[in-house]
Formats: sequence, C-alpha cells, structure tokens
Amino acid sequence: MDNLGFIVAGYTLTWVTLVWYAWRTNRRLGAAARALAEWTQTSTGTGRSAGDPGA
Amino acid sequence: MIVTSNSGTARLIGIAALVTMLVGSFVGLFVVSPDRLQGDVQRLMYVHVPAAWLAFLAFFIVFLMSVLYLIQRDLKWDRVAHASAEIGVVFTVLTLALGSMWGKPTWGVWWTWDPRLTTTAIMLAIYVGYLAIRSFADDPDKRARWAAIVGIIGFANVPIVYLSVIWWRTLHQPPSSPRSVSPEILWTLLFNLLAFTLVYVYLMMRRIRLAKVEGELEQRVAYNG
Repeated sequence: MDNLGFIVAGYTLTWVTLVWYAWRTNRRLGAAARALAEWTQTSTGTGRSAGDPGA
Repeated sequence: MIVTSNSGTARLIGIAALVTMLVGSFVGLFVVSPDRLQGDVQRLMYVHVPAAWLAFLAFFIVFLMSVLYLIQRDLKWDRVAHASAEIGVVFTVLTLALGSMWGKPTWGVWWTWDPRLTTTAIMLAIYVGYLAIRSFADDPDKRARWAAIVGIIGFANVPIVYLSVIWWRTLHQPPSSPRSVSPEILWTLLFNLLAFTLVYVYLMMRRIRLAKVEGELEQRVAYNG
C-alpha cells in the first residue's frame, strides 16, 4: 500500500476525533445530570433525580 | 426524533454507528480496489467526503433550527441548532485535516489558498464564531436570538463552499457523480456516508440531551438564586 502513513494517520484521526467527542459529550452529560439531581435534592429535599446519570 | 431522545434509542443508534463505521473503514482500507490514478491514498476519500457532507448537513440543521427559533421563540430549536453547530465544527476540522493529509501526497502541499479550501476555512471560522457569540449573553433568549441570526446569515457561505469547485478553476477536484466513479467506489462511499450519518444522529441525541439538562440547571439556579 503506497502512502501508508497518510492513510493510517487519516483513519486514526477520524476514529480518535469521533470517539473523543462522543466520550466528552457523554461525560459532560453525566456531570450535568448529577449536578441537576444534587441541586434538586438539596433545594427540595425530595431526592428526586431529574437527569440522566446512566448516560 | 432528535429533539426528545432517550438513552435506549441513543444506545442502539450508537451501536449501529460503531458497527457501520468499523465495516466502512475495513472496506475502505482493505476491500475496495485502489484508484487507477491516485493509488491507495484515494482511500482517504471514504472518510474525507462523508465528513464534509456531514458538516454541510449539520450547518443546514443550524440554519433550519435558527429560522424555527426566530418564528416560534422556543428554546428547544436553539438547543438543536447549538448541538448541530458544535458537531458541524468537529466534522469541518476533520474535513480540513483529512484533506490536508490527502493533499500532501497528491498536490505536494499540506495547504494552499485554493477556493474550496479557503471557503471551507471561512465556514469553520463562521461556526466557531457562532459558538463563541453564545458565551457573550447570559440571558437564554438573547443568546438564542443572536445565535439564530449568525446561524442564518452564516449559512450563506455553505453553498459557496459546495459550488466553489464549479465556479472557479481550482486545484481541488470537482464533485464526483455516480457516472464518474466505479460502482465499487460509489457503494463504499455511500456506505461510509451512512456510517457518518449514524454517528451524527447519535452525537446529536447526546448533545441535545446535554443542552437540555444544562438549560434546566441554568434555569433553576437563575430562578432560585
């Protein structure tokens, strides 16, 4: 396979970028859902979870 | 579908996206024959072109949702536009980086001020600006209104990016058509386009959900102090 370095770099970059973005979004979603659930719990005392912590 | 997503559907689409991406990459790298003129480096087309198409789609969604927001003033449209802009920026960066990796062995340069490359760089700057402008307003309605205006005006550049290779004599090749490529190349490209579309839908579902949760948090904190 000619120009193997460019091809491997291109496909690796694609996978790393998309997996990184999906991981980052899910991590942010988990953190935001936890913050919302904690806020709801402390402000109302009901313990109701309003987020999506299992995301 | 993408406005009110649930975790189960998102997980299924995520698995479908992962499987189609794996198959698409495998076929693009090892199964389909190399291009007659460019050789193996043309295999980068199977990730470069879908990334570019998905960037166009993402910014079209930004445009559509921006129009809907200005008509209905419903923040759910702004959340979809915001999510799509962020994902579109990721796909545009990927498009430029992959194009550069393809350009070096075929054109001999990593970058040139070719109309297609230049208009794509301008498109990236517009949507980075769209994301940046959102941080200047604390009020959600004002933020959504400013962003919607940029989302509508900024979309004017997207058709220019697409037509740049037709309007001007450029180093970048013109768009391929089913008549100009072999069926094997065409089907591999379409399969990878499907894979990237599933990735986009999955990312949209998660990113919209994130925007919704962050919006709720922001609203409650603002309301209760």
